[in-house]
Amino acid sequence: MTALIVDELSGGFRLPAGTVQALDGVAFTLDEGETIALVGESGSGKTALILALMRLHPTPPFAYTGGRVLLEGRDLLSLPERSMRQVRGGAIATVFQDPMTSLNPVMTVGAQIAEAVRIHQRVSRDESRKVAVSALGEVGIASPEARARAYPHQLSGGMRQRVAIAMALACRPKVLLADEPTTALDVTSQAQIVDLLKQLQHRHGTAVILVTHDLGLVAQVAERVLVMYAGRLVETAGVDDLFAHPYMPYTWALLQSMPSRAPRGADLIAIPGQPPNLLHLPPGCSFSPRCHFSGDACGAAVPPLAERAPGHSAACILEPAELSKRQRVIETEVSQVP
Amino acid sequence: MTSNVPLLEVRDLRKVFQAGGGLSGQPKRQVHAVNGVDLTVLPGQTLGIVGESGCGKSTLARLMLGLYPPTGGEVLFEGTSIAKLSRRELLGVRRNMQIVFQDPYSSLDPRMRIREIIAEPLVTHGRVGRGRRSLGRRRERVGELLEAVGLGADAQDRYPRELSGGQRQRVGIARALALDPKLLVLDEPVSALDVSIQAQVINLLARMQRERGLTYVFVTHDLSVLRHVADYVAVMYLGRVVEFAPTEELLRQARHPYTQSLLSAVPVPDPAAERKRRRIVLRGELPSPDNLPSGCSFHTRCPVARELCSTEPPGLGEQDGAGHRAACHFPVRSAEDLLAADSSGRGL
Repeated sequence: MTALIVDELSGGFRLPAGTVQALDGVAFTLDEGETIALVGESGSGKTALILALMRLHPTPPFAYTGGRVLLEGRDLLSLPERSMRQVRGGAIATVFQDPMTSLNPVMTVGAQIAEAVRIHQRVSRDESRKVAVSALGEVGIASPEARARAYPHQLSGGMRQRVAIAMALACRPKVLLADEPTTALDVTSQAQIVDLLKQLQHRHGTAVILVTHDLGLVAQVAERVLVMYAGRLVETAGVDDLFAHPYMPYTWALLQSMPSRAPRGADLIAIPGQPPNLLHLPPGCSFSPRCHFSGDACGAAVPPLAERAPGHSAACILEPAELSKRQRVIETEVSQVP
Repeated sequence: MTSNVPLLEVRDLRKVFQAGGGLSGQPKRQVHAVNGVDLTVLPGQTLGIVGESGCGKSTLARLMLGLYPPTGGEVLFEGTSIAKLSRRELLGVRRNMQIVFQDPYSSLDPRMRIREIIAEPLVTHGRVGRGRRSLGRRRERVGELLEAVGLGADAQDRYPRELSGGQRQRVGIARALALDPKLLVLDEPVSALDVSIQAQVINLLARMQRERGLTYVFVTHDLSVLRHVADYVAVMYLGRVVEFAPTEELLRQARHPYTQSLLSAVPVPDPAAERKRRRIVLRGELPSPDNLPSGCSFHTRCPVARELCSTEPPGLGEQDGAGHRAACHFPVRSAEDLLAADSSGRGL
């Protein structure tokens, strides 16, 4: 069963200097219980997409220019704001990177979760309190009754993120959007939180979109991967296919730039330059100025995201066979440098 | 390049910060940020220091440079204790030890042009004149440094806000290199950067080390970066070094349960390997450094802790020779030992 369909979603920020095309024809489906990772560098549009799905961008400056977001047959983009408020935190919930700024500092964590529950379910105050305490227990917080009376600043970063997850899952959403949920945490807390998310997902069948820049985390939790660059999806694939043979030079370069994949002491294959300015995108493929394999044809037209193998699409004009041949050449060259 | 005379040595180094008290309305507390650290850094090598937030790694880095006065112990640079130096002598030593900070956004003065930022150490140490007449000489020297770190001469007249994160970090490195130091302390130099840009900066640091015979102390929370750059790694937990070993040895067979759990927590970019992996998930939370546990400070979270661990602090003892040391009463052989303890219910 499909949980969410994103159909050719486009939108941008209208600024005095021009329009920043933050999202350009983004299309994918998310199945029930599935975990999709959304990866890309800072500024590639990952968070802009998440906020656009939830209609959390202030409009203006943001304006949708096309597409639909379908949840249970309804297009979220055409819902009145009143109904959208029921969707947020109800059918779709979010967990953000920094739990210190996403939690209310002057409310106890129990009261915040209870409030969220009352907004979405017809329950009494007492009942919502009980739900809050059991939600805290479910995310592995010891003595949840006592912790429900704590304020966010009295908890550690890992604890606060557990609270944010408890709040997100208290209303049993169909879809959880997790935007860099472990980036602010230490690696041992990250391991705890990832473990927890997986358990809860199995128990409730929640579909998850995990936004991250950490490809290790992607390998650990995702079933499918969407790679984003300059507001477009440039590769989508099952996680094994993507890591084994990326069909988009950008994905390949991202993987190569990870220190854990390179031979010790050898130079890393870095991506030259910076991500492009979205106000002045280069003509044709927007990755071509930084691409190891670009040629004259790359500047001519924007390559569409085309299926190259079953379930594996890429936005590159090079044939996969040719591309992997050229990738091997560079990989061998680099590994031989002392 | 490598000799066996240490370039930098720290002996039983300690730092206690006072927290609370005064107008804060909270009781006074003693925060033991660095709690008895011994380390040596050999010339031309890279010592990696790894640990999680609050383990004291950044405080240790600053103590090494004499940026904080230590509460106890000493720092020796080329065999001389820096605490005993006069101001003038200290200035001479400082020239040889420089630092690159994590956040290239807050470590560069937003009101200074890039050329002023990089020229500042040169002027302070009297390498070039301060006045208008030396402008040409300053520009020339700054231009050389910018070129060395891969920035064009047109960066000279820019302000930090006009540069990207990666470019700013290059400026930070150029400033640190301005005085031809022997030692660079790198405090999370790539943690704020995207992985693609991170690779550029790691390559740059490696090239600078090769070309200039630099010695690095590389502080990070990211073991995969250290795997790539460090010769030796010191693992810190609550102000102490709990394990010290040559990098590959440490990654192959860590003996301290904390190091094993750190290694186990880091995801690897290989989906098939990730599916097979069993993780050691540490229980509980990091204890507060103002109220350290008795005995071994890791015993409250350790899957294989026994009674002795809560009473007797372990020394940093030699393990199988080859410079491998671990502070554990019951060192482990592999992650399997810890996973076995977990599933037998003794741990979790």
